[in-house]
Amino acid sequence: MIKTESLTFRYPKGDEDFHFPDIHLSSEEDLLILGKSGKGKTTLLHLLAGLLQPVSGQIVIGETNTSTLSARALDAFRGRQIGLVFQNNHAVQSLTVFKNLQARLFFSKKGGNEGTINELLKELGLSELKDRKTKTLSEGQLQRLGIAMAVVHGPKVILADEPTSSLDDENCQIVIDLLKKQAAKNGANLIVITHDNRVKPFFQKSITL
Amino acid sequence: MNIWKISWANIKSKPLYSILSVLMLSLSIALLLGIQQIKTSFEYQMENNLGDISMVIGAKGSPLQLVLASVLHLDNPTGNINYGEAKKVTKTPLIKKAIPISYGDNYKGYRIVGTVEGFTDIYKAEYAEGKPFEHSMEVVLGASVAQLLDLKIGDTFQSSHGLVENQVEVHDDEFKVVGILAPTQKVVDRLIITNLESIWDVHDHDHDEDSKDHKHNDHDEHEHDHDHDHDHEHKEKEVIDYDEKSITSMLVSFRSPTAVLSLPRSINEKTNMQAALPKYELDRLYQFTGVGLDTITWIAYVILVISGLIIFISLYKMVKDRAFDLALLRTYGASNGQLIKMVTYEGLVIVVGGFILGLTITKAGLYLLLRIFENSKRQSIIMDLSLTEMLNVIGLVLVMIVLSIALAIYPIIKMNISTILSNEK
Repeated sequence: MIKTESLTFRYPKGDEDFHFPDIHLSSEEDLLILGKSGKGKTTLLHLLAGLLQPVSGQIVIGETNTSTLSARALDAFRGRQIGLVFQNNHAVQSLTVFKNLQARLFFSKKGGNEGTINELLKELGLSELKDRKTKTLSEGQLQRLGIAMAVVHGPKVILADEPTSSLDDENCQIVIDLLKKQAAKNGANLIVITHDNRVKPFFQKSITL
Repeated sequence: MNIWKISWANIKSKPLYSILSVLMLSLSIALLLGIQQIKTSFEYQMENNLGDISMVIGAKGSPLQLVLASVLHLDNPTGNINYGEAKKVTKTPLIKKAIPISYGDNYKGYRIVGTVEGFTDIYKAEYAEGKPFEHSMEVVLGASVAQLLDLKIGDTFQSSHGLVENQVEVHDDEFKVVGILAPTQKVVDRLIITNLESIWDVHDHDHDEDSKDHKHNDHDEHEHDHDHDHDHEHKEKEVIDYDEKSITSMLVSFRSPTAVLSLPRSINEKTNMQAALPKYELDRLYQFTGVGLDTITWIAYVILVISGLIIFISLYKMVKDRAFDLALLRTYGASNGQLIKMVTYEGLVIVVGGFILGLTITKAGLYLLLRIFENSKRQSIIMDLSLTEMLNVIGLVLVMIVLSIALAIYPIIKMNISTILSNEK
């Protein structure tokens, strides 16, 4: 469950305020956020993820009002309840696929065991690659690893920032399918921000900034 | 999974930087420790070898040479002096003890020192086996000599003339080992001690034969001895007139420190002998050798600073290059503290690696040096470094490292995750 109310944000050196429309998602509802560059799509995503704190307004995820949390509490909350998927960089380069997922679980302090990771790798078709360093993976494989990283700890919210922009049509569809499936499996809200129109048909609910 | 494992993976992912950092650090640690150790050993050795010798009386020449030859047994002596004359000037209440020493021979490069019983007391040397020499041709061995030449009580050997080993001028008379001293870490360890008569006897006998072959070819050096050769050629049992014999030098210890003001000057001015003060001469020597050691010490400091810089650059580069990785870890729920820990661990691995390697290099290097010294100087001179000096070096290195790490993690504290993540595209 996600609820935002009259969110505004201003970058320390920026001269304009971003005003964001209110979002209200019941549990397991997905949302597509569309908009041109510079409209604050990523800013909104980072606000939802707790990477930025709003100037005014509030964000409630589940039972928690994240806009009132201290920096440290926000780190912990993010680790446990948020899963982030990015366009390009998906995992730590010096670690293998498997160790990345272990690190993800370690920092989330949620526990989980090797069985969880192996099962997830199997679902995402990454079992063969588990001992490979991430820089040896292809773009499509990396994006699937990115999804694994976002869901391995069982988050309440999955936030994806342009997850399909650098993928071909086939991989684009695979990635969206996997995201929706994993979100449903975890009972999590999936929020995707993109300017990629190929993604539109997969979502019932969308807002445009 | 824990932070150590991530740090370790980071180190492994940039082997060149990591190895370079460890090597540089270990090199500077080895140099700093090594120099400290050599310096301490050198000075300790010098001070220690003085025992309670406050003045040396010998033939005129370089006072430093006289001290090196008679006190440290390193250089050649300046010449001979008359025993009677030396005894005369040392017969004053200002002088507590005057020990004559006489050179002339060596056995396999180890000097045979003719002296009197009090000589071992200068170095507080104890007997490991056997007893002091009583008769002519009986010798007591220093600990290193006995060990390296594998000589035991009752063994005999023939000396060769001069202070350097040679096969040509071997004397016929046989020395007999009657005592072996316990190790002292002092110069006496590499000496063979006998009484003065032994030295005189060996040379008297030889010159009997020499004089027949060579006539008086080398009379300038041993003229004095020759006179005596003829004197007791046929009357062996006659009491030797000690006072007319030559000795190399006289080791003197003062009864009162005020003697230093008057005695050396009066000897230097009124006799044809010279008096040298070992402490003063050795202090002069440090001043010369100190410059070299200081230079190496400065080089070691420079290397330390460079290794600090390399560690800083290596960590800083990691922080900058992996800004995205670090931001990602933050999105995984890692706190700033955890990231700082991670980078600090990386620095620590390098530091620990550097220390272990550095200490190993120091130990190995000094061991090697020790072997070389034992062969050439025939005495172990390397001392173990005191804990305080070791801690000083370690402390200095740690300050350097802490500074490097602190500078490197500063960007983490300043890091704006949102900006880094937005800039990926």
